[in-house]
Amino acid sequence: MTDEHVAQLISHSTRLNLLEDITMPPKKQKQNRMLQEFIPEAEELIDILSQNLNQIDGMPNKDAVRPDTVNAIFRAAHTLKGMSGMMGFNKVCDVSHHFEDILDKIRMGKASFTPVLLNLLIDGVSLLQSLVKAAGLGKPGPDVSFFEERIRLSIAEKPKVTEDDLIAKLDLGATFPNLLTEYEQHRLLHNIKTEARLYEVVATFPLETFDTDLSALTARIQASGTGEIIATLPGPSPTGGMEFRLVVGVLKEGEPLETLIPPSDTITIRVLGEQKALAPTQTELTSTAPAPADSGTPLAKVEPHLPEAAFQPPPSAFTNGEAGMDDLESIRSLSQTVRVDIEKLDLLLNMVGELVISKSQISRISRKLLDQDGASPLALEVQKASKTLDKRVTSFQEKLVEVRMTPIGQIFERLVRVVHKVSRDLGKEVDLQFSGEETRMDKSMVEELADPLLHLILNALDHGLEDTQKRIALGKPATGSIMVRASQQGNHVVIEVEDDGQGINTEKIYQKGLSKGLVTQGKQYTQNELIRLLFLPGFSTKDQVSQVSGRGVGMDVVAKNISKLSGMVDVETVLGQGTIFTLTLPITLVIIHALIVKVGKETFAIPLSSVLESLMISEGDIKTIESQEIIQLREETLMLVRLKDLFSLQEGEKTSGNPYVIVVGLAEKRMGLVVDDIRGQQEVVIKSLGEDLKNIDGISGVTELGDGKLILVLDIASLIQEVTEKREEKTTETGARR
Amino acid sequence: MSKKVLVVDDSTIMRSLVVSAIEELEGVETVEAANGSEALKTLPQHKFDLIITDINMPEINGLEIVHFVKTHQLYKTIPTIIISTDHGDAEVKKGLSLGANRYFIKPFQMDELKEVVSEFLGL
Repeated sequence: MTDEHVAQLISHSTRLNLLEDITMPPKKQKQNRMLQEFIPEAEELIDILSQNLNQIDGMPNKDAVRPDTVNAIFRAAHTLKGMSGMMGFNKVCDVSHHFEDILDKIRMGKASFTPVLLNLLIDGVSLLQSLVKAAGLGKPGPDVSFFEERIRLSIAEKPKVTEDDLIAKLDLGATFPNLLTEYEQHRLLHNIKTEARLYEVVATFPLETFDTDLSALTARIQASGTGEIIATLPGPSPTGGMEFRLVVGVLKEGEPLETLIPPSDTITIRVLGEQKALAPTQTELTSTAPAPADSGTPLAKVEPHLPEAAFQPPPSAFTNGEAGMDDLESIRSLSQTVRVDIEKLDLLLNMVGELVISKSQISRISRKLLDQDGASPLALEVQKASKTLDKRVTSFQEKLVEVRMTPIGQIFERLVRVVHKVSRDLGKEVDLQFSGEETRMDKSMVEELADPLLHLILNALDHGLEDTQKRIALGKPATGSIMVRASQQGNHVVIEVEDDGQGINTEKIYQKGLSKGLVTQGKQYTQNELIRLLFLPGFSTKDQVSQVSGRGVGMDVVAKNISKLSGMVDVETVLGQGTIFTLTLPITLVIIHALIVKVGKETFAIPLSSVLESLMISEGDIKTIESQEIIQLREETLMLVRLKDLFSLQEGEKTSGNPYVIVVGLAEKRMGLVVDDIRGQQEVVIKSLGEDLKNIDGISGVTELGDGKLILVLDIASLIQEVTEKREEKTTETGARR
Repeated sequence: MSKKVLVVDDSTIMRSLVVSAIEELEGVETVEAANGSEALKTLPQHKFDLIITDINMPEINGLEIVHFVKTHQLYKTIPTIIISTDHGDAEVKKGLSLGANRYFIKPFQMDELKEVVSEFLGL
């Protein structure tokens, strides 16, 4: 992707209107957001370069520069190169690449800060500054070829020239030497040493005919008797078709290649090596660019890129291999790296997931070996290797998960714009405040959270907050307030959306539920049960479906999206005072630590993030109150759930020991899961159950243990919700009976 | 479903040797290409499970094919075996650095090749 292309994307996305912004395709959002992150970070890095270089410039003895200072500047350049490459800002990338090269040489003691070099670098810093500024504005920025030429000349004084260097100096890219067979390499060197003229011909042919087209081209070159094709590198063309990069040598006395092959739309020729001396005529060729009347091809595309005669390299075939060209190789590799996006990261994470599984397989084998052979040298060796593997995979995985963590504030910014627009439309004044923007969670979770969160806020705005007039009449501040608070609590992120509106009128919900046949007349419902109705599909208490909330997404979608993320929604409301919606979500979903438990014949994984403690109890500890099993845990009563009953499992072989209670909790809710046995802790990779099974309550996915068996992962959030609801049903039933 | 292997070599004899050897494996189908251009032309027409290519070929050489395959979004996951001659150490190294998965030095035992092929194809 070129700078211009990125700039286009960016200016396009900023033009989108506010409400569309949230529904903007993720790619563009990403692009836009990435740019917002890129500019400040790039500027910071350039500051590091600038400060350090100026400091060195002021030093009387440049040899006294501390190695770690040089290393720091090197790293800044290196990072800048990588970042700008990813973003497709090729000029920034190229210039910082030169910085990196030079600083690497200095770092490794192969060069030193001469006054000329230092001046050059300091000039380069201002060049980088204007390039980054231009990138931020979506403009192409200043020309960098002049700078590149200066760089090349100032580091030309190399002590010895090897054959590899000769080829490297042709500037065909780093991989190029690797693509030559020995014979081709020999021919190339021969051409360089005999001062033959070297060209790079880039030809693009359609997919259907590239083979015949290519043969025709090579035949034409060979027929001249003076031209030799040294290498033919195929690659996909950015425009479709197939692109070939040919390296062609033409004998000194031969005709220049561009007369032999008239450049055209599909064929460009660039000169490698000393032919820069021919530049004036070639420049003419480019600038005037009339179609050669007899050739029938429209445009000559010779790109000599010669900045200034003063920078002519010395006329020796051994030192003047560099051509002041755009680095085709680097453009190519850039367009490949630009495509690295969240999907690739997902893929990588999946692969790490597989790795985690293989890792536990190996550690299982190692344990088996130890059991079998006792502490034999081999078994110990395997154990040691397995432990090392364990450590490395874990840190790899941690790093990768860390890379995926993004501050939740990203979506807040988008929310503000949408909310302001909607509040204007509704004629309500709102003061929207955020806190905890820096709370981090998995990138994919942050994205998934945008819609539900927007909906909750719009809901608060539409249903929660009263009209301005009504607010004044009620003695409330005219401007309504919506607070969005995010915070990390252990392995969870808690997000609260609080408004100071009218609260949820459960009586209204009851009536509405009655008319929809969702509640039974005469039956008593708790406030919580009635509020839960809000999350049922198609439920809306506003008499008229309003423009805002009635946008097709309902609270049911919010609840579904959140539970898909293994989270839960809680509602607290006080009539006339306001409502708080609380979302509790795990920080990341993909790889989790789990407690492996056995119930009957089945094995389950319980996310360790929701496990508070595990207890061994005796059946005698269990009491039954109102048909609900409980135990007394310290001062509190803990509700028990037997997984065996919940999932109607078969009884396993009679377990000799006492049952275990796994105390799980989310937010302030607690419950005890009764299991037969605890198998230990393990890292597991959660995989989806597939379309058909994904809505099973209480199960968030499956995972593979090291032994290849698939087991179910419990979804604690939905279990707690389900059990609490059942419990409430029971109490109301008994309440009604009284 | 049978597995497809692309065999690229400019020498007809070498090509037939390789093809007849690996076609002895059950469930293996081969497609031949006599030069780099042909190989590139053939690539999008099949779903290959493995590519075996000679390195020394005129025009587009085997290394360039490996580079093409291993940098191409669609093909980069296809395992690739390179074949070189006994004085081609440097080329083999280049090939592996470009992403080739395995190499053979001529002359080699066809049984060895068969073994490696069936390993890559998961036979």
